Amino acid sequence: MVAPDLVGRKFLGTQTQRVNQQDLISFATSIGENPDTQISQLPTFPIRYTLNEAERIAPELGLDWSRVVHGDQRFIHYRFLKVDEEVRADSEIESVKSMAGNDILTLRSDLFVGEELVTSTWSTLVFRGQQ
Amino acid sequence: MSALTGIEIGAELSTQTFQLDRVMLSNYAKASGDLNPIHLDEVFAKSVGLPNVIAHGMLTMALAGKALNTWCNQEFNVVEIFARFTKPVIVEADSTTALEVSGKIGEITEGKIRIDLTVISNEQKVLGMTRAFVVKA
Repeated sequence: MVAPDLVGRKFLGTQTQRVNQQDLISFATSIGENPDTQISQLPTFPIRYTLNEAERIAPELGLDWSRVVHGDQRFIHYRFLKVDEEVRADSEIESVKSMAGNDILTLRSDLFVGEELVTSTWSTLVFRGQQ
Repeated sequence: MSALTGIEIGAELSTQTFQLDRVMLSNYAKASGDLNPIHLDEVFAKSVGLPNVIAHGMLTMALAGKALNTWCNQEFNVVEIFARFTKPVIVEADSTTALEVSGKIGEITEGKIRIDLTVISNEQKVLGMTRAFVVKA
């Protein structure tokens, strides 16, 4: 079980990820959009830069990523990322609950380009307990 | 013209239907970086108690985003989107699973339009509380 005192714990992004054109094209075409679709037309595209942060953080909390189920997801775009920008994800645990043997974590990840906050995301992740 | 131009609260947006198959799941897995085998490997999915391979919740949400993009028609942008993953979308081998996305205008405040989405597969709501806020591009 995950300790409730993890609430407020921050994980600063250790490296930036480049928003590259090919990743954008792959994401757009995977859902049947045109290859020239812009990031502003793909409101969930930044998951590419936050989910891998969550995957990196989970083991530090003693959580088994192979048992994760996505509970809910929110994105707020203050502006839209642009191709070739270097993006950094800073994350914070906003809530922790244990229910029926599952650990439920809400992780906010803020995507920054330099010092500018571009997109905030909230992921509720359910780590299923061992049956 | 965007379906949202001059729209009023309570108006319904035309339903869009998308077809999911294993190829889409595989392509989305690579594109998003979510390579969890429950979305790719039938034997694995069944070994963890699922009826079959299931679509990524985020793929379902991305398709809701695609429906929004069509309604927006480059005249509006989605500045906020939320979804709860309530039911898995099961994708069998060598067949397609339909996903229907419909929308209704919930609120309009200072140019910001709230769209409440209903996302259905196999006659069940697969996303809950799904809503987006859009503004003029």
